[in-house]
Amino acid sequence: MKLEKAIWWILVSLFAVGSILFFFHLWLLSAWAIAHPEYAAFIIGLLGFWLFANRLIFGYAGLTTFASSLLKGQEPDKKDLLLRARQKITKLEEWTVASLLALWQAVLEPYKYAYYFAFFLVFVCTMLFELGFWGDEIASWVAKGLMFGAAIPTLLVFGLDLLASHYVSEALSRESL
Amino acid sequence: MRNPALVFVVCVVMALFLGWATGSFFTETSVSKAIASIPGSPIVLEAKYDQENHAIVYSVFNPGGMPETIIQQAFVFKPGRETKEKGYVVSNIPVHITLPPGETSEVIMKLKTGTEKLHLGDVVLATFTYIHPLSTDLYTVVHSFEMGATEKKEKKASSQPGSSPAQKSEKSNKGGHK
Repeated sequence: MKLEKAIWWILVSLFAVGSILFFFHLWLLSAWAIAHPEYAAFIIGLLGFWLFANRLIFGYAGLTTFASSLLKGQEPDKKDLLLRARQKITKLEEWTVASLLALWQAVLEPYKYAYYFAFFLVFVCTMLFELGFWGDEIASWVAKGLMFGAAIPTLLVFGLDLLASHYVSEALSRESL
Repeated sequence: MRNPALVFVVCVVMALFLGWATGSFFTETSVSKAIASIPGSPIVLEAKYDQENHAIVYSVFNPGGMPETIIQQAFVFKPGRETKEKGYVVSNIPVHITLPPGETSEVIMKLKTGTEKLHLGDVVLATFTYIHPLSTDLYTVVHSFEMGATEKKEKKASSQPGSSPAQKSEKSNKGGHK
């Protein structure tokens, strides 16, 4: 939870500081961005998409950790789990750990699809720029840089999602026995 | 995906491809930026005589990454055996033909009006003066066209010493780089 918040605030402040420097033409940042638009787009894509992916990345990583520790026979702290899932429920003692994990996974589901949809839009726009529907070569470079920057957190989300759903389904099937 | 190891392998392969694509993308952009800043020297690939318009059509290839502009044409006509026309020189015809980078463009040079059509053995020595955006210097390419020659001779001034001003001779050297 602490690392998630720390990374989120670092990224938000980087974004804010970068935007202020850029818009007020301070500290050569805008000159550099104009000279190398594809690098700037890559960084914007990486930072911006990581901001949106942050909850998903840490959510699926946490799910994997809790589910695998449950599978190893340890009993995770339910309150900690609930706190990290950012959910409130009543009668906590009646919930099993695996059902809490399933709740957490269900909460993350709409975020995941919204995130994938945003990445899909960026990908399609990059394709259209690349095929020459709009803009010139520089525009297609910028779109491609943005797409590659966005692809890095997207790959993390994809992998962690697969891993988490595997461990959660294992934990659920073990508890139902 | 049952096996976490399989998930790991799939993600590693995808990460490899992503890294490969990202790396080659940034290499591509930096290389094409570097190439776009190099002016090439135009090459005359082919020359054809256009009988109807009494003109010679040159296919000029610009191998560099910068557009170049032909600002002047000049030619020397050397008569062959079959023609009655005397030799003549037409110089400093102002033109403005832009050669886009990496492409072959056509440059038409009209011969002196009222003169005879070209016969076998006639030689037209054309000089193109061009400029590029990096400097204020003038550069020249000299091409010799022989009517009826089976092999189109593509020559630059450097390959025929003494017949013309040296290739890329600096006629003016005022500003240098901008």
